[in-house]
Amino acid sequence: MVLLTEKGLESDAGLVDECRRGDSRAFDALVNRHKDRVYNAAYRFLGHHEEAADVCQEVFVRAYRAIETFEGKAKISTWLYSITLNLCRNRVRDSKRKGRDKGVSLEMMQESAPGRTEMVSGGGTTPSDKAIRGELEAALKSCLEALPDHYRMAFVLRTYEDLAYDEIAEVMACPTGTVKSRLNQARRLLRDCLTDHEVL
Amino acid sequence: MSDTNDIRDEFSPLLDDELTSDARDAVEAKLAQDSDLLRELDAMRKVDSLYRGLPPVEAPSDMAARVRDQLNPKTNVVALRPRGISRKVYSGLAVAAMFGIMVGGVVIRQTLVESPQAEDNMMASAPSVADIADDGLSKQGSGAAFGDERSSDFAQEVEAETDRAAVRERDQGAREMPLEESVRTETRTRRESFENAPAAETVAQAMSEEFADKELKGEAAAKPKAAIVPAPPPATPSSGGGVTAGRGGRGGRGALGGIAPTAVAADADSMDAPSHAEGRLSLAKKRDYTVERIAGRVFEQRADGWYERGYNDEPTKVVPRDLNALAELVTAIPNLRDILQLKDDIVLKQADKWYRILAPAKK
Repeated sequence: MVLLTEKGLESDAGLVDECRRGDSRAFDALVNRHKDRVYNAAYRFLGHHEEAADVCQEVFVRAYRAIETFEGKAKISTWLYSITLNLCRNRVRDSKRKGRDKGVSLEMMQESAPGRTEMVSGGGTTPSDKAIRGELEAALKSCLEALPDHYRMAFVLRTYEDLAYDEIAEVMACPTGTVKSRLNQARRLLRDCLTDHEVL
Repeated sequence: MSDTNDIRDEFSPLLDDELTSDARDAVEAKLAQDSDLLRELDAMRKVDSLYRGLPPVEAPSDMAARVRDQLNPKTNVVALRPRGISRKVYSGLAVAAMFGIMVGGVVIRQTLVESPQAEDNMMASAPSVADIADDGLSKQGSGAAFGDERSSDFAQEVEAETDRAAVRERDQGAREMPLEESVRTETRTRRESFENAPAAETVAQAMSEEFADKELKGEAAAKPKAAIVPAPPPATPSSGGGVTAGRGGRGGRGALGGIAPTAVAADADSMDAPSHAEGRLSLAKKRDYTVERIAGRVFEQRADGWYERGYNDEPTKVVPRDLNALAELVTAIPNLRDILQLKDDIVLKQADKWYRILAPAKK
């Protein structure tokens, strides 16, 4: 237990070094430290918890297998987000290819998410409140998923993961100016979409 | 127009606090003059606020375990290979560890078998001279007692010949070595032939070492070949099977590969003894050829080697006695090491093909 606590306090770079030396507990610590961020990004991008969990798991598996190639120039979180982005893109592409990209279903909207307890727009518990929250959430998800992939990912990384522009640029392997442009465009499209849904 | 679009392009950096103070001042000055732009900015700010208001989701608590399972499904342990140790070195260490375990097993086995108490126990369960002389192997000579590997005809032949040997023994009176001693000698010989052999897992290594050693010393050609006699049937201690009891009461099954040879090579000294082994030797001499049963196969000695029963001048694939050449047969025949104790050409059948394994000296 003491060791786990110590692992939890170590820096990412230290944990990566220990992983390279064969310490499996260090890798566990890395997973536990970053799993929520990775999962959150995947969920916001994909809009489905099970798929997000699959992607999250795969991200860490790939990270483990490639940890010797991680040079440490970037933050490990940036590296993990890069893997997440690629896997999410692949998954969306595969879904479209298989014709499963049916948008956001009502079932998915009503899916109870771990950690999702209430909408910020209302804390009421009446059926009416729940219905309003459900509609709002459905609209938000629908509009987000309607964004082109590269806009959506830029928006997710900025809004949910709070990454700076240069970090987003690193994850998406594009210039910082492109990030700015994509974020601008993403917000405009979301604004228009939410206006159409009479949310704004 | 272009100026307005330039301002719109700065909305996101403004919302994200990515503008320098000078740029921020310039944008805010423009917004103060254009209410439409300000409404647009407010709408975008609200978009951000709505999305940021969604509570964060959490990954499943067992994510680390899932990752471990995927990385190493069998052991549920993330087997990280220490950096700096090459895969070859890692493999070498694993092989060395396996070898150590096998050697340890052999040492433990030898220690247990060679202890005086084990020896006493084995000999205590051996039959007395009178038992053997009076009963011979008749009590254990039924076909059922021989097990699946023996035919009842062969058993009866051995039984009859052994009885005759016992009668001759009584007629001739005292001998240089008492029968019980001869049984002890043969017991020791047989036990040593098994216990000194390497474990089945080390067959490949033992074979290669043996071949290399004999190639250097030229022993294979110089050493006189021991007489081969059929072994007595396996018997329980209660049925008077002294030889078999000497093998630890394992019902005639050796430690190597689970199946022991059904005949052993008795050395010249033990042949001098007037034991039932002599009777079996007589039986072998009475035949035109010597028969050896090993690993469920029957081999007949002919002029140029040992032939598995059933061979009828079919073409053979010649296999020298070296590890690489024998690899195919080692894999296919678990008890090949026992068969290779026949120090001559060996012709045997495997998967509908006949092989001639050359004698060590003919390599």
